[in-house]
Amino acid sequence: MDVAVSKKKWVKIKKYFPFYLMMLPAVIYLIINNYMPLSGIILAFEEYSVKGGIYGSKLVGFDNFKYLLVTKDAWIITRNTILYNLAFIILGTVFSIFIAVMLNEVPGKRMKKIYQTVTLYPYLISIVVTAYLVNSFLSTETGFINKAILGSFGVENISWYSEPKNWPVIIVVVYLWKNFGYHTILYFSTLIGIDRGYYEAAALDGASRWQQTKYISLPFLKPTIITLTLLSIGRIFYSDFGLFYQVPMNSGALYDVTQTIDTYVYRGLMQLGDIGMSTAAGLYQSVVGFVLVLGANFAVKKISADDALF
Amino acid sequence: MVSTKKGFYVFVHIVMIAMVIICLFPFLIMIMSSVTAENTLITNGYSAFPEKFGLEAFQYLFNDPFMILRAYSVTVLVTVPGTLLSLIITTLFAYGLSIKHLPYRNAISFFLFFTMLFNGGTVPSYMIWTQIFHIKNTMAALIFPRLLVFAFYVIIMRTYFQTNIPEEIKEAAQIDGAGEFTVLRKVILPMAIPIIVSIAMMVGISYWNDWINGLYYVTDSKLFSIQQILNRMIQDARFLTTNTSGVETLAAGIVPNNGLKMAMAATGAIPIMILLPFFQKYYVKGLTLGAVKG
Amino acid sequence: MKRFFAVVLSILLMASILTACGNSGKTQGTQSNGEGKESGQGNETKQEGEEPTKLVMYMAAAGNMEDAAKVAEKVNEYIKPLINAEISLNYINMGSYSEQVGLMIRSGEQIDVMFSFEGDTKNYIRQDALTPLNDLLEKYGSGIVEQIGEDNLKAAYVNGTVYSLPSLKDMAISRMFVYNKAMADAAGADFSNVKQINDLTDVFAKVKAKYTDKSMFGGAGGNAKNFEVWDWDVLSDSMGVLMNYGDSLKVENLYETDEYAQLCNLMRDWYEKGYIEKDFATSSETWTSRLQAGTAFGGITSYKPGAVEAVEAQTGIDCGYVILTEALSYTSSIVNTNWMIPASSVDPDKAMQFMDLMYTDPVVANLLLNGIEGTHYEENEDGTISRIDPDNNKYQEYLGWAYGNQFITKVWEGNALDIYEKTREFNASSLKSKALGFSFDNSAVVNEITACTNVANKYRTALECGAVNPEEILPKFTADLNAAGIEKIIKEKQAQLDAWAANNK
Repeated sequence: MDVAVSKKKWVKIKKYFPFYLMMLPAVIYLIINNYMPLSGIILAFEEYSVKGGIYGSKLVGFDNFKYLLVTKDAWIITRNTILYNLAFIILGTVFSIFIAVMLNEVPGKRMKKIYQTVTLYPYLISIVVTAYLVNSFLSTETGFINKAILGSFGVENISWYSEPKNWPVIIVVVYLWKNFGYHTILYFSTLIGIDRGYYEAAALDGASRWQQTKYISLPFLKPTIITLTLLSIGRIFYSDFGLFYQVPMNSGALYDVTQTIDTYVYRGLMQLGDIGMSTAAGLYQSVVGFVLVLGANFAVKKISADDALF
Repeated sequence: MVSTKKGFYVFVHIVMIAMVIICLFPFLIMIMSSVTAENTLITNGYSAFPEKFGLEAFQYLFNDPFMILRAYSVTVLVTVPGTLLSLIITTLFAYGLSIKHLPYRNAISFFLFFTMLFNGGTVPSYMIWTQIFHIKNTMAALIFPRLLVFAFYVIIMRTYFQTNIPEEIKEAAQIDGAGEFTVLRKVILPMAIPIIVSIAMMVGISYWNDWINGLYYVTDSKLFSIQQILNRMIQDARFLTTNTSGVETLAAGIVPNNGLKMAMAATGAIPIMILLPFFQKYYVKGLTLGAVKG
Repeated sequence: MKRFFAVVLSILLMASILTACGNSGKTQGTQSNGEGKESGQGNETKQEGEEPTKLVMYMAAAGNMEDAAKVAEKVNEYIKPLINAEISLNYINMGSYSEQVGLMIRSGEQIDVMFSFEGDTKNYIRQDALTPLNDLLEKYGSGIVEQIGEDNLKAAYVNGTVYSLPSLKDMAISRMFVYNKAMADAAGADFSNVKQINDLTDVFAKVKAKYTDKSMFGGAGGNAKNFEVWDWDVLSDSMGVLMNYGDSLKVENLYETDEYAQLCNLMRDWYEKGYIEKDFATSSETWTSRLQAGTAFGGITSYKPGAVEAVEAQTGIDCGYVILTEALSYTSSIVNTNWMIPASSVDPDKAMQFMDLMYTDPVVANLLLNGIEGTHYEENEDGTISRIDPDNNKYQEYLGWAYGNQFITKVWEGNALDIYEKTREFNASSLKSKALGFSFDNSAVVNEITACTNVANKYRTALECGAVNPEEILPKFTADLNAAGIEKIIKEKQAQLDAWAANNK
């Protein structure tokens, strides 16, 4: 019995050995780049002193987390971070899929090529430069919108950077503009990997384009959609710093609608340079995202086990 | 039936053209602003229709063409090897993870995913890369930290392998006696070209645009990439507006003006805008292959 | 399955812990004074040996510094016979300096001589990143003490220990309004009655009447607030200040004072009349570029001998100026740029010796600030110096004023030859805040500071450039500040200030 079992195990390992070999370089890198520094998380519980170093500084329990949770702003920054991320996930997914499906329908390889390249262009510019470009639209005195559009309709100039109410829309629009190409590419590459045969067969059976999309394209996209959404949920407490700090030009009047956990930490700690407190913030964001993803992944496992992340 | 088909295509084209305009218009502003006279920029802000042209920004930039050339070569010498290396490691990893009955597959997936959520912070990473691996002020510092393996791309690729590559193909190859590496090389990879090209594009872009590695690990200006120069310039401009140590007047001689920022941004973005379409060639190849497959 | 999970986790944990142990050995080695990064050797071996000690210096720069190595060579030629040490000069652009150097110093990388801005210095002190200098100053730094002056040096003391040496420059703050002379003359503006910022309103009215589409003063918003008239001692962070040129020891909440409310109302008035640009709060244009482009009449900045000439040289515009506040010296104005020896230095003794040279030896100072004579600058007939080939110059240190001692270096063209004496006079004759020498230790109130900083960032810029109505917003601002705990900060500050005053009678 023992001999049989160990022989089986040996055969199994021999069978899968090449795969483990394939995975080795990445695993080594992740250990070096991600896992070795991980012990630095202890900084979140320390009052850092260069003399003591990372592992020898005084432990202060949860003191470093207080500034995030006890403050009056805690609710606002958490609410902003979560709501924006939800909007990004939902709108981003819908919009990217829409464009990917459209792309797939474009007749002619050359046009497909051109359109597809263009979708990635916004992704190329750094967010800081994007902030300047947004400023060229929204600047009170010289901005495109005030000068060219509102001016010609006789509407009074809007002081964009002082009025919070427009900004949720502005931020979502800028986010979509900059990032949709990224997701569209991923959805699109799945779509063109789908065997044309399916579509031809469906067309023969009299299915309309919409039906073809609904019953062939979308199901094929499901795994990618689920994967991307799960990954986004994991980062739901994080935000793109450039988007929420640079694009609103760091305008105080807009804090209530543009302050996220990341910007709050940055602004608050700018004077203090306290790495214990900033590590604590990172840990806080990680733990929440982690718990949420575990929950979501568990739910997905129940529905379609293959698509779960792990 | 015919009219709806045509109507549909018109619709598709309208959507696509609208998208192109929305995507490209800000670029137009950026490029136009980089060739606008500085005084006009201050009075009128950035605009796609400059009042007055002026090549001062580019003159200043290319005043020392050697510096720009060197920055470009740094960027390229980091992007190309980095992307290739990353692609190889990522694809291998993703393929291994996609094998259905691989023992401990879930544990390794978790190992991978965990890295997306938790990190020890900048100081510990910095200490490891500089004190153990001594990469400060080397090209390695621009390639290895943070960017070589993105868990995100591994997972995307794994999903693709699982979805788009049917088991039968793999089994057929194995019956022919091929080893796993051969199967991967001869059968799987050609079918995965669309996703490989996509990930290559995105990894390439992240290497091309990255300036954080340079900010942390490089002080030698000979190793500055284009984006590094741009972003240090922007940080200087911002510094002058937030620092109250009286720096404003006294260091203002070298404030990067608005035109210069845009010129720098254009210098960084234009090469990759030109290169991107060439990647499309491989996309089309993948298209044809996919069609023939049936 | 569960078992393997456990195995995997333990392997990972072990990897982390092994790294931790390995690193802590290294970090502790680098953290304690005088031990080297690689080998943990003590001072002793280096001092008597033949090998010159290799020192590392970091400084912020604002231009092309490619020739730093060349200049370092010349410096080393000179200092090696004097102190048996060689130094490498490393420059980081000022915008990235704080972040990049901060990373180095916090990870214990070898730095022997380092520059820093005040905000960072405080943090480094709090995090034990710096070597105390008291003994070193006694042994090797008497020249430094002489140059800086005992009184000014007092400002750098924190609870009896001195960690940083202030740069010798203008150490008092006096605010002035600089303006375009041609525009002023054309509009018939009369500055003779202007004694403080309120008096500018009438002048602006006249100038605006003539130049309706120009703003009266430009500048970038953000946190610079360079329209501020600082006739109060900010006590390092403006959370609790000493009003009226620091003539009493009562710490007050700046944002609840009448003076602050008046300032906000004044700005609002100006904003509505079009004297301040509507984009001020979010703009990134400095006032000098606006002045140069002709879109603004002038700007508010700090006075020092030679400042106006510098603006004229840079913008090409003939400028006039009028002083708005008297010169005031306080702790923050003295220590806003300073030099230090990090705890990771391999040889603090030699580092101090080098700094002594930097502060007292014109040869070293001139090399560091200006470069190599004949390559980077040349002497003019009148005794001043000018840059050789400014566009391609590879040693453009525009932050020369931030080095240890610019007063012993040559004078740049466009400045009077006695500019340094004038600056020393300016410093000496300024008002002195009663809290000069007091340094606030904020470790007890870090959470309140974080919260209050966020509140201040939210409201200050908009209020102080007149973009919002102070009657509505100022009460909100003060209310939020109180909710964020500013009272606690003020109480803590007052307590420390009183204790310091008692000890320093």
